[in-house]
Amino acid sequence: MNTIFKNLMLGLLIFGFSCSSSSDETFTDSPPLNDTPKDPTSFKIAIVSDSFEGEDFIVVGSEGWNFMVAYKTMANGKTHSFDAVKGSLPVVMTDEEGSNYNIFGLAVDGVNEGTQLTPMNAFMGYWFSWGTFYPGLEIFDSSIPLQNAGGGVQGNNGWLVPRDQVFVGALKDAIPAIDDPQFTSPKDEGLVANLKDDALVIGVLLENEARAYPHFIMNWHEIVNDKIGNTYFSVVFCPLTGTATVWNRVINNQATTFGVSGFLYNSNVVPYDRNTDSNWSQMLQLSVQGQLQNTPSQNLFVLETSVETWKTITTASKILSTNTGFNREYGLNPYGSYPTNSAVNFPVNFTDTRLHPKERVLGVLVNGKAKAYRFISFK
Amino acid sequence: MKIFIKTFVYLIVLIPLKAYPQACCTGGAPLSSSLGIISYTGENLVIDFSYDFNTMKDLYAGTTQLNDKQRERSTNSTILRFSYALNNKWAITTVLPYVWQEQTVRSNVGKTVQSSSGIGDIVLLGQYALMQNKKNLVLLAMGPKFPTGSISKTDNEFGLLLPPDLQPGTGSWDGIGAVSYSRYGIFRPTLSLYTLFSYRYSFQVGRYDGQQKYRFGNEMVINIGLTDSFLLKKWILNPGLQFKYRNTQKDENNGSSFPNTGGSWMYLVPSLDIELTPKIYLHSNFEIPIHTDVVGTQLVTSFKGNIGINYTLNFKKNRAYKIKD
Repeated sequence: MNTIFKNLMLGLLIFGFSCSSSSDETFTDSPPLNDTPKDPTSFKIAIVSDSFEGEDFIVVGSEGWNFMVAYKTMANGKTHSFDAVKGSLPVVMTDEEGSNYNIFGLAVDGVNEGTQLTPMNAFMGYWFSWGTFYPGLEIFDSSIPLQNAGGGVQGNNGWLVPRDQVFVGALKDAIPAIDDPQFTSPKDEGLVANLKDDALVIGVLLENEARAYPHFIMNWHEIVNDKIGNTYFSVVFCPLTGTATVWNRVINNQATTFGVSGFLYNSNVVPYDRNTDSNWSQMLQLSVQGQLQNTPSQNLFVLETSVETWKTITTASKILSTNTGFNREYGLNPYGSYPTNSAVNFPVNFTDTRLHPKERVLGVLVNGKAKAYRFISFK
Repeated sequence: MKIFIKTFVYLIVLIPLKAYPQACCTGGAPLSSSLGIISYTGENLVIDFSYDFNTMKDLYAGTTQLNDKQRERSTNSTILRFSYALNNKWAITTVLPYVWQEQTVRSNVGKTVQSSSGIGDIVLLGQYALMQNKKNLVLLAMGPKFPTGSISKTDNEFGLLLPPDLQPGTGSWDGIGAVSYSRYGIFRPTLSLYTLFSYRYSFQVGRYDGQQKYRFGNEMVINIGLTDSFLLKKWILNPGLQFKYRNTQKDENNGSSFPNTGGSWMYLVPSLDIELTPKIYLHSNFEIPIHTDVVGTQLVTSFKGNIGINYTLNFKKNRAYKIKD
């Protein structure tokens, strides 16, 4: 019996500890593409001219430099045409009159120096989120048959969206927005300084001041209420849809702040404004419930790119500090392998299987319709 | 000698199983008190009623406790257990929980409280005594956990479906298996060693009207403890101390690992049982976390306890419990 006893105990212990799970989550924040060029000297920049819903615009992008931005082609009453410029970041293109434009759409020399191109309403996001919010959307330069064309949903129960498709992901403010953001230079703070070149940041340029909000911090907070000069804005990032937007937070002449309601619609963050408690949809870009229902968000230009690109295109840039006022393990991605796997955590209205659910695409919105652009078009 | 035998019997009966506690980030029945994997006398019905409380306010990332008191969660439950021994070898146990859960988030702009309550998931176990003699007892148990608890509780303000960790039930069928080994008379006649290995296998559940295929991570619990017995006036006191190791695998969502689930926990579990009469005893235990290693970031148990009362009904009198040599 003693032998049985000893063996049983030993077996229990060995089995028990061999089942220990590891907490060493690998920090990943890259799109699920495995052929992205790694050598900056080989990075290409390309431009596509397009027209959608009667709007003429260009999309400038680079797979290697990891950005896509879209601007209207008409500026100061003239319609311009553009060619890509390689190897001169932040300059990315030149117009037919020889003026060079930086990645923020500003002509930096030539006869059109000082001309600011008007950004399109566009932002990056995981493919599945564009597919569910804008069913049947077209993909640029793609011959794959459309899916879910003509699909749509109706709001109910006081919401502009189907209330039974709004889910509680967490309690209100359980994901705390940053209301007093601190910034650091890219070299000054451990985790920020050690960011991998391909780590993603959300870039904002307002009143000539550039600020970057790294995904690895935004994953934990989703919203930063910030101010540059007289511009009050909120950076809103949804880790589940990979979407980053920047909203003017002066609404009806009153500055407000946004918080994380904890609700999810189509797996996308639902911010709430703290003045009225109204709930907003990030990807629909309007308030979907509450006093401000139907009020559209005022969208500011946002550039989502790699930290390597951001450092290259900005000088004296400030990066959001991990000194957020909250104690979090910022070196750990709370979403694990979610950014690269094929899982969608919460139910969505439409599933579009034309692309990998987590492929990052640029969505351009015109008149409530969207068109998607892939990095593959900018190789 | 009789008192020793009697004490042994009570020791066997009184040592509770501390298995299947409320998973830190999942809903469902907090089966933290006894599942009843203990020795029973034939044709006895044991009724156990206990109250379980679990306070979670420590936020962990891996093994590191974060300095954050923003969130707090409490789970209170009552657990009614019936165990009927068909004979000295076979017994059937059913566990019926009722759960109250409340989660609080404090922020610099206010406080949010969300709560829910309802019947939890019911467990049915069949038990077999593989070996029982003066020195050793080996028990096997297995059975299903039924998805009887509600998974459709909604929030107070908008009627939105609450997250799974605030639902009284998990929605899934689970299979539970356990083996326990007890050895009596270690170092002194009344000192006993108790070990338990238990495993819960979870099956997939379709959440949100089947739009999400979710599977809770399987859970393993190992308990190793010592219990002694003392006489205090008319009462027999049974203080005990257990080491408890619990491991859960990551949950799966539509085939992929779900973030911030899974991990390992270790606890010290002091307990005290008091036999008031041969048929009635009170039991209590407290779980003190001593090591935490979670996947991602999770709110974990800060303090947990269970108190209860146990009553035995004899259906067939004049049949004494006999221990084989």
